[in-house]
Amino acid sequence: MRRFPVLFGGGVLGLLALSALLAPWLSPVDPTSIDLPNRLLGPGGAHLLGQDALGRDILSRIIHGARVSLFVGVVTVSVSVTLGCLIGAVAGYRGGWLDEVLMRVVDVFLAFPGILLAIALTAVLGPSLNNVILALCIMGWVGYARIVRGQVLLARELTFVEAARATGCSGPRILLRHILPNVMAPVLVEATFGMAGAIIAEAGLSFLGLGTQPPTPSWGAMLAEGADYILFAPHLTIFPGAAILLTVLGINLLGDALRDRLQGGTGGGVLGEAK
Amino acid sequence: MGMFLLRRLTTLIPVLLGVLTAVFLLIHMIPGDPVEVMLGEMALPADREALRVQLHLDQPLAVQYGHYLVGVLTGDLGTSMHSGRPVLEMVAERVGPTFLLTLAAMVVAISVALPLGLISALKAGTAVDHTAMVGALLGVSMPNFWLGPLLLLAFSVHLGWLPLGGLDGPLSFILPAITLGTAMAAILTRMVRASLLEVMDREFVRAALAKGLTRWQVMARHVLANALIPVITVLGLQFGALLAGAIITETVFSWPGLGRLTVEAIQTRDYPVVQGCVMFICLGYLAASLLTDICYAAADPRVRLR
Repeated sequence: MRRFPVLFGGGVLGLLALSALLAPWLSPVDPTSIDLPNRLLGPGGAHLLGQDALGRDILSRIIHGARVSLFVGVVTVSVSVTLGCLIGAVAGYRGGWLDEVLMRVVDVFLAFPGILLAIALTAVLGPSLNNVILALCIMGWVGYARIVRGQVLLARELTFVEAARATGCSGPRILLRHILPNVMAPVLVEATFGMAGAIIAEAGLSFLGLGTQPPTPSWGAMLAEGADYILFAPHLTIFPGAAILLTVLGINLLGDALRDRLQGGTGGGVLGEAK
Repeated sequence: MGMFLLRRLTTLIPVLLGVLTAVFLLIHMIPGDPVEVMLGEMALPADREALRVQLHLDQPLAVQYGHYLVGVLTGDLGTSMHSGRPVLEMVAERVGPTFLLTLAAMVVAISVALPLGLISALKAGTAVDHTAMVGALLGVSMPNFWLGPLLLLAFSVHLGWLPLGGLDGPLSFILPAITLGTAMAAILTRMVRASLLEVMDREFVRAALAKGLTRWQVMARHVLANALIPVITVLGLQFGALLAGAIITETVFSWPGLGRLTVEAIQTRDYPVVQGCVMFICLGYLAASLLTDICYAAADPRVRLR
């Protein structure tokens, strides 16, 4: 039972990766193939999850949509982590005016709540998947920078860093070879949640018409298309949403398990029944 | 407290300036000629020139920035390109519904999170705790642009209990508030639980129990007061997230708020209105964060000394 979150989260991520990589072979039919006579057909028969307003197979579109979600999640997290670690590490290690300036920039980015900056940026840059990724990276690095800066501030006073300095290691070498590998645990945990956040954000932006553009299948865009037919074809809304929920739930479970493993959980105290 | 306030307000100034600069630069990030993007390729040269002058785009960047800052300070956020109305007027009439929706979502979140987090902490490690935590994880993972249509389908279409959308009386608040507040309720539940568990582990709790107080007396008098202080911070930060989340929720429920105005302005490429909406949401977020810090400092004197 204790391993369930890891197994479920890992299973979901594995399934997502498999769908993304093998989408052309796994999908029953071409996700863009239109079949107007059978539009809005319910689940069952040859089309397991039914057909959408243009008669396209929903299962195939969900499988192909996994490509977009995984791509956005992986690219956004990779770029954000790299940028955030670099800026946070330099700010924390160098300190002084550079730290002050970088942290004020971070404060400005933090003043834009949640998805607002991404919406604003994709609104001006134009709706496209690339612009969604760019917008998510621009707002994504901030959290990692703060975490890494805090960790580096603590780590730079530790004995092993002093020892490295004493042996004549240069600043960048100490940072890259000694400090960063030792402060990555919280970053890894945050990156897991960041991936879930990026997948939801992409779906949200596509739902608003600012993300992936037709005919490329995307879970968020499928939900937006389904909203017009929710009264008589709710399957158009239910299945893509369930795909987002399961994916994000799986990744969050994995993140939780990772956090418990790397950073330790909380106790129950004398008032808790567990004790 | 006075010094704390002054210090906090001083740190707010550069952030405020940064936000205003970022909002100003939005229009300049439009690829190509912003005027052509806004009016379309078929626009007459005279119309283009008029818009360029109206938006001060014919002047150097620094002068444009000066005009923008003066405009913000004097309440002139420009004019909507579609309705011709002042942006401030359009934004002002949409702030109320968004604020009320955000408040309703907070009420939903708090009324779910406090009892659930408390029970979960008291029964930590039991099936009740596991169920509550799975529920919280589901809430965090649930996209509001999916939850909203599902709630509409169940309670408005099939059961016919609640209105389909729009702002029309108290009943119309229920579904949008649940949609917007679910993720916050989930985050708060986890936070309340974690915070309670941490405080319950402290020495003063053991001391209170040793004095002979009952479990519930210790909870009510000592644990809750201490554990809920960090929750205030999360509440404040989440208020900002709710303001931004309202953009999607308002679209789902055709709610006449700031979020829907933002989406409508994006769809019609009415960039002065987009700028106005983004600026107002950010200011709301900053105000919430300032208020949170003040509440935090009032509740915990140690914060004022830092």
